[in-house]
Amino acid sequence: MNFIKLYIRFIVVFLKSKMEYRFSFFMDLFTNVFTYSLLFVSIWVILNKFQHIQGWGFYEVMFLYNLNLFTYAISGMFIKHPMLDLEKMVQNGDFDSVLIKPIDPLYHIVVRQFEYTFFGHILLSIVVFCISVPKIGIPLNSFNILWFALFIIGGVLIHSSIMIISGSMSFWFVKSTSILEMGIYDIRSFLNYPISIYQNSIQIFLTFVLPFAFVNFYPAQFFLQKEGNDLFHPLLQFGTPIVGIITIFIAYYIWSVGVNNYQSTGS
Amino acid sequence: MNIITVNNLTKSYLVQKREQGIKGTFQSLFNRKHEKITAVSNINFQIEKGEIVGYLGPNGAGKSTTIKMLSGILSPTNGNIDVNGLSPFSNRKEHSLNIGVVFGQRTQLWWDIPVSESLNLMRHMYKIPKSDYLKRLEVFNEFLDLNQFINVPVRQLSLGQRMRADLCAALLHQPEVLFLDEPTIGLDVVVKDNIRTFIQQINENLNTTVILTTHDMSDIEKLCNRVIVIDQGSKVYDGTVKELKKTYGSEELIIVETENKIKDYNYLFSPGILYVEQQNNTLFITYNKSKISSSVILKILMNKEEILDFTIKETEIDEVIRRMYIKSLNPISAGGAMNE
Ligand SMILES: Nc1ncnc2c1ncn2[C@@H]1O[C@H](COP(=O)(O)OP(=O)(O)O)[C@@H](O)[C@H]1O
Ligand SMILES: [Mg+2]
Repeated sequence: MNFIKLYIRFIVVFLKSKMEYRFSFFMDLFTNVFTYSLLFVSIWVILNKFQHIQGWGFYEVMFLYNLNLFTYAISGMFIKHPMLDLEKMVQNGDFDSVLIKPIDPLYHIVVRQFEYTFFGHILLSIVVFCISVPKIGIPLNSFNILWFALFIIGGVLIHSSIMIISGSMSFWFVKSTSILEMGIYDIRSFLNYPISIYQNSIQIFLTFVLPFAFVNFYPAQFFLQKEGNDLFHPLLQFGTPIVGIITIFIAYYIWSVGVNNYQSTGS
Repeated sequence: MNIITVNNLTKSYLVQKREQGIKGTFQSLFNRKHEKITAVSNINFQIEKGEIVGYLGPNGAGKSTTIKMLSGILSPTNGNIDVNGLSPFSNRKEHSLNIGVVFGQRTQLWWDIPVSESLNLMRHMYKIPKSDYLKRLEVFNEFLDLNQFINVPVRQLSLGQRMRADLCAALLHQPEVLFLDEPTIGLDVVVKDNIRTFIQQINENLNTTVILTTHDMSDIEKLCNRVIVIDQGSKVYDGTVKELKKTYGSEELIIVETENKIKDYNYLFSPGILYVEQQNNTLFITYNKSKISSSVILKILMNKEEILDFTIKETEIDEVIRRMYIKSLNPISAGGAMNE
């Protein structure tokens, strides 16, 4: 509990410093909502042309897309920027000061900031959930709600793990995180559609190598039970929470090895 | 009682060798060549609780590397460190409660927020009771004039203010040991003096052990009884400041401005005077402090000339160390090596 309290203190201070530039604060938020609204419009346009993609209807793809956006936004809000900053901190030696504080280094760099612009994504995706879920006709019973919550947690853990692993590479390679982020961005865009439409190698990659498919495809399959969309094994549609826990452990391990490998800088 | 024990401490960095040109970059992607730099090599020392020790050496000697190992930032390549019963690197979290660290070259405070907010966050990080926190701030204010800039964001502080704020942040949790890496670099005389007095107070009142690196002789003279000198990663001296200066740096320079240019200053030469140089109306007299005093020299001069002004320059610690190093390389020419 203590660490949540500390986190709130940090966020309050951080937001206060950001509100000094009030105009840019709200502009950032607005631009974010705007860009993602455009994305949804473009999907809508494409889907209206084809009606459906391999049996997935408009609202179903929207729901799928949204599972990714929502979990990504939550991870992004907490993890993404600290990891991009880490690259600089390692390069110029500012990471030193993190290592002489009585709190865990990962926790420390995470609580020092907070990417409020992701509020835009989160708001938007809540709206999209509210529209798409009734249209698809997923019954709102406690069983479904529980699984939905587990999928969201698992998805957040998967996104966070991949961000942490990519960030940790800065301990070994110069400028690696920004390059990796670009690659991961491209890979993540596969998630905009059901992975069952891609060739086998991509499905294997997204399930067993970078397990992004557990963020949205398998959870969506759990709710929608699409004919012919049980890839590899039907049990995988329950896998998200476990995959999330496994990846976060791997990520924390890689991070710890990285921290111990930190060399600081001479100046 | 020893609070710090360092045994056979060694640190090597693996530095990537950078190849020239595109071909080289490409090659190094697949076949990374590493070069080993030994920054600290087989150092031993013990420090007692309550000591203030100057850790000296020329640039690149390995001072910061040692401080980083003592504070748990870097792991030793070899040897071991014990600070207050803990190994800094493997017990990093517990260790951090026992130490305060200030790097003169960079701040640990949050760039965009006022000093007060930074300190308040520190209070929560270190779980300091509010009443203690307020009392300590009062003391900081008394010595460092903290209130003058406590509501200003760190990025708007002058170097001197930032340094003072950083010191407060490092001492907020009343650590047993304080590591200062060039705490007075780039500061003006008033702030330097302020900071020295403050460090002295903390040491006296709380018996805080202090290790500091510096290039400023007055830091050493005001604060330290003991210095450790390292050069190229190895310890070359460990003892009192007095002894160091007596052995290696008993020379002083007196600069005298006279009304007229002196035609013949040979009469000045007496035992203890090493050399004399004249530029226009200014005399530069180097002498051995243990053989002749500045007042005697001035008296001799005043009998013959009209003196307008004079200043006495002590040997800088860097100079002392340089000489020491030359001596250890080449003991015979030590006397004549002053002009390098
Ligand atoms: N993080 C680092 N990576 C590689 N080499 C370093 C690093 N830090 C210091 N060095 C090298 O180690 C030597 C000692 O550096 P340092 O401990 O910073 O010396 P000082 O503080 O006495 O000036 C120097 O040659 C320096 O270039
Ligand atoms: Mg240094």
